[in-house]
Amino acid sequence: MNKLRLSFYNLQASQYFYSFMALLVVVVISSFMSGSFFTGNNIMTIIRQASVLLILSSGLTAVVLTGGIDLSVNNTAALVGCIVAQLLVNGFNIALVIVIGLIIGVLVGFFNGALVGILKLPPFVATYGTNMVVLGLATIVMQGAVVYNLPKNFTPIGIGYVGGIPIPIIIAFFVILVLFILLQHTTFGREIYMLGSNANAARYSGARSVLIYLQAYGLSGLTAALGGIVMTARLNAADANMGNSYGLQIVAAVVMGGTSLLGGSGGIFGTMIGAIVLTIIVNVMNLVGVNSYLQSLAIGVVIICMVWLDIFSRKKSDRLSKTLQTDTKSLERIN
Amino acid sequence: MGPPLLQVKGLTKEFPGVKALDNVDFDLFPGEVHVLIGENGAGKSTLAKCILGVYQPDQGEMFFNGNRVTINNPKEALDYGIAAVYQELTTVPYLNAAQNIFLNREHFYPKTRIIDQKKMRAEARKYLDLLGATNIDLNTPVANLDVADQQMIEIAKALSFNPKIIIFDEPTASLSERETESLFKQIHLLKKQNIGMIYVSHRMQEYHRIGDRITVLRDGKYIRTIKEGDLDDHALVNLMVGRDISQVYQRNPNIQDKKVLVTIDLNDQKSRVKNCSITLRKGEIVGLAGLVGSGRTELARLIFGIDKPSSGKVFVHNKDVTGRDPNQLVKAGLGLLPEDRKRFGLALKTSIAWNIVAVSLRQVFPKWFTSERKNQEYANRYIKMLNIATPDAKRVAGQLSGGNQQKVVIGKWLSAGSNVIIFDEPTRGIDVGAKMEIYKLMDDLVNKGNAILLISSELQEVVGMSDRIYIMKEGEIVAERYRGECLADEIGRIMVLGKDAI
Amino acid sequence: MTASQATSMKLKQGLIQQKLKQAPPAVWIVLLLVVFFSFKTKNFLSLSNFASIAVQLTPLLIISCAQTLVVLIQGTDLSLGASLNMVTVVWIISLEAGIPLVPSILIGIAAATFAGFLNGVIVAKLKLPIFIATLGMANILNSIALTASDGASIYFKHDIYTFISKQAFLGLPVMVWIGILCVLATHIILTRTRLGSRIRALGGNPEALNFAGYSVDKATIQVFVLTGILVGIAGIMLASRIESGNPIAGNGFEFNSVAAVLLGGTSMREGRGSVIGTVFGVMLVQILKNGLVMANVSSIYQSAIIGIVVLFSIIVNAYIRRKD
Repeated sequence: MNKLRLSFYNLQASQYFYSFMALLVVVVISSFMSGSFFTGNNIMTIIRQASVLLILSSGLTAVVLTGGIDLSVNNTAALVGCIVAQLLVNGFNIALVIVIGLIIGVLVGFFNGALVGILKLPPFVATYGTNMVVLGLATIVMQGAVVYNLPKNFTPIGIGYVGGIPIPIIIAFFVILVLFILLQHTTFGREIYMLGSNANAARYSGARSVLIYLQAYGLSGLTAALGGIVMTARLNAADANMGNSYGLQIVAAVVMGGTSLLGGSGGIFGTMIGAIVLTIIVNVMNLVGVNSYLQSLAIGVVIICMVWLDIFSRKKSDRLSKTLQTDTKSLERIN
Repeated sequence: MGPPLLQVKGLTKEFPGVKALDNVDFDLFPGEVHVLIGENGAGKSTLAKCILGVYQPDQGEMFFNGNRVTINNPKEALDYGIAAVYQELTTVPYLNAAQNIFLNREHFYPKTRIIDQKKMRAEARKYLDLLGATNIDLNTPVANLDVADQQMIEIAKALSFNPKIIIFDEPTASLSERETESLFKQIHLLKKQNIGMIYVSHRMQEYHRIGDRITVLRDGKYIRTIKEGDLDDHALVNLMVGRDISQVYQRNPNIQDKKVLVTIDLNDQKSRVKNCSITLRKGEIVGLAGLVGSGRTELARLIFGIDKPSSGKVFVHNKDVTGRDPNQLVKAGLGLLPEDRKRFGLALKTSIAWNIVAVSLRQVFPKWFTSERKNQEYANRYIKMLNIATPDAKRVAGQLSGGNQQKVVIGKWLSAGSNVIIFDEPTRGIDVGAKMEIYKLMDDLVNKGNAILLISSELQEVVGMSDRIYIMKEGEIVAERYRGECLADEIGRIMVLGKDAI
Repeated sequence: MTASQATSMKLKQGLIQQKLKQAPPAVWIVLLLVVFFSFKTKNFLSLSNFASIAVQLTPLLIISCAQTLVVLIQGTDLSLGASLNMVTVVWIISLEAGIPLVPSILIGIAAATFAGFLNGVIVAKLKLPIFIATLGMANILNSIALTASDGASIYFKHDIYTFISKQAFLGLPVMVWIGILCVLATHIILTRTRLGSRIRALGGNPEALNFAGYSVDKATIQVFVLTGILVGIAGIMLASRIESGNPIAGNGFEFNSVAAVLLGGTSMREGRGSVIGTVFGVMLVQILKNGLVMANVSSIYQSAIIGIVVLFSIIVNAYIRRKD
């Protein structure tokens, strides 16, 4: 019994507390709201849907950890999906096409990173702009049309199984694993956390923030591209606007997972929980018959609440720690 | 004479870890200019801010015109007729002078809520002309005016409240001779109107021009109030600085002839550092003494690469690193313990262990992969070495006391292998015991062949620890003294009077 | 020169002196584009073209006035497009429901004003960064618009549309006059009212506002309420022009208005800038759009080109500022 208590306290202290609570709450409410929630079929759908969202929001986690944001993920995914689809129906080799797609994602990411790191544009302006441009590019690539009937050796990425497990889930699992290692167990990840915790202190420690931004946004672009590829394989089609179905959910997944927009705290594990919670919310709303428009309203409300929670709890802990030791700042005023 | 306009009795104000004001008495009569002097940390600004309602005193009483008052915020102070001209500018950059002076009090056309710019400008012009600031264009946004003009606007703003008491905090810091004259003329006029003025300043020549009485504070305590003319400069500085400079720390320096840091005629882009040339040798602790605002921290930032110089050169270990970024300076062997360690030195919500390897990340984990366990082990070595008071390395830096936080920052640079470290106000806000530990650390460091540039506003500290001292005033290096060459109070005098003291 | 050009020229004459000293990139780029397109396409420099440009740019102009205010307080309002969508839908629905003209217009404007008020409260009291608060709000407003309209445009005939968008006074359609009035009103508020000075303080030195004794929260909410009113008016204008309630018609306005504001010289960090500059920024965006159409560039390429040019201009703007 004591061990249980101890692990509960550990959980409470961890930054993922709120997200776990949210997960529990959502699961409980959902099973009441719809009888078909807990069916095997439905759960499979949820996990498969969540896996695409997870892939898309995993790289974004790195960006948010630096205290920034990337609003171009959904349309970068769409662009890459469209380019990949067009190349495939024109007979290009599948491996080559995938590599090209990933590189394009990384390039978009580097572009964002340069805008933020070198030009010091505010991330939401820079990536919002990139988002619009990338959507325009996707429109050009598709010439307003939809591409479907993709080659049979490609679609398994989205709808195939390996050993009974859907491939998107396997891919998502690997992505989480890789990102977990990157963020928690490499110097790269450490530098990201440092930059996000205190950009000033990072500067005064000689950190090269431009490089870190380039890498973080590049990573976000990479996972966006990967997500776009999986999405296209699942839909067996591509059109310029396919990023719309994910829209703000990608940011919401990261925020719901407890990663703070202010940077420095959170991680990929939280994003995983966040993606699942979000997908469950959408799934339940579908089951109950709530129309898709109201779904995005719910997501908007969720984002506002989660960000507020994060800011509110930070302010509380700041106030607490201030009373505990010497306040250097107040001493500056003493002259 | 009548009752004092303002009277303060037994005022005490504490901040965590330090007593800024300790049982201070003070009074002000109408029509007098009462000068407040003291060295850094003496409590002058704190006293002023208590009167202005920015701080609330922990003990003591304040009387205004004989009546007991409590002033809870600056607005209440204004209601009592107490206005201030601060050192930091409170102007809105893209409003013009008139708009700034009358912010939130703008004149309207009768019966409308539309601002009557003409009327407002006429009023503003009135106050500015009184100050002799006739050249300030009322059409220009304040951001495009130079600092002297901006300060004039601050003063005009205070005057526009028709106050009974005005508190000046270093008002002439960026004024020219001519503008200072106008200010003094205006002060004389204000005296005739029976306005009481509290004048905080370091410039001795000014006390003689306008001061009626002078009060000296030291270490938060009230020392003495004299009438202007009763004491000469030398005696005044001695009151400010105190006579007992006990030996802070016994040092046995081991200085080698190798120059590890050289700056030549260094200038920054904002004229806060002017033609500074300093040298640092292996095994030395060189002190940078000076008043707040003398440009020492700005010089440190120039050397470290945070700011870029407009001219001049910086050499570290004979390598030209002028204008390079901080990461290259760090590679060359430099380290910086910033003045505000919580804002620039540590990630407060991160563990001690990760803070310690913040700079040396790639050396501690050369194979790219990090490990929490290895990090803890590594950090524990430094925790032991530096005697950091913590149960383990997992604790977040924000939970440590000031002294221990500073040790973590020192650990960070030791871990990075820095051999030329700038210590900027290293013992500020730290208790005596930890101070001693840090002094010992510094001594050990230089005896092992490293070099330290020590910036400190505590005269005892900078004199006690340094082998050599540069004294800065208003951005320039005005003197250099060796250990034992002169007494601390002479250094204090040079800090205050500049070249005139030599 | 059309009457519209002459009038707007006179309006700007006195300010031209002041602005030439520090003309933002938008002014030069506008001139460049005008020259470029007049060579590229036959009818660019025609009266009818300029008149249609003026009508087309009015909604964006009014939205950009609102965006100017938000940028001045160091933020960007990403909910303006969604709010625009909502207003068009709400207005047409109320007309459809038989509500008389003036009350229905007021309902539309009130809806946007309330949305603005909510934005202000979330930013001031919940302390959310402006972009995330408005991003979340955009989602909410868009879903309201889509739900109420069932995802499609709502058509309803009314004489007011032609009155607003085609009826001319002194050579300019009513809509354009309303746009000019909004610009003037915003300019007057910014330069001649206490609210305007408070906005400058919020953007340049919020401490100063505190010292002057005015609540920063209160001022923030006022800014967003004002943007709401402007968006409401813009929504009515837009709906009149497209003669319907459209839940996606406003998409992209928030981005283009940010571009217009930044290109017009308003800075995000200091409380510097003015609505007059924004006017040029809007002209830039609109002329670009119009020129592309006239040059027979297919709509498939239009959004990409516009997006690229706008982003490029923002980048150039930021680069120039860094040099200072």
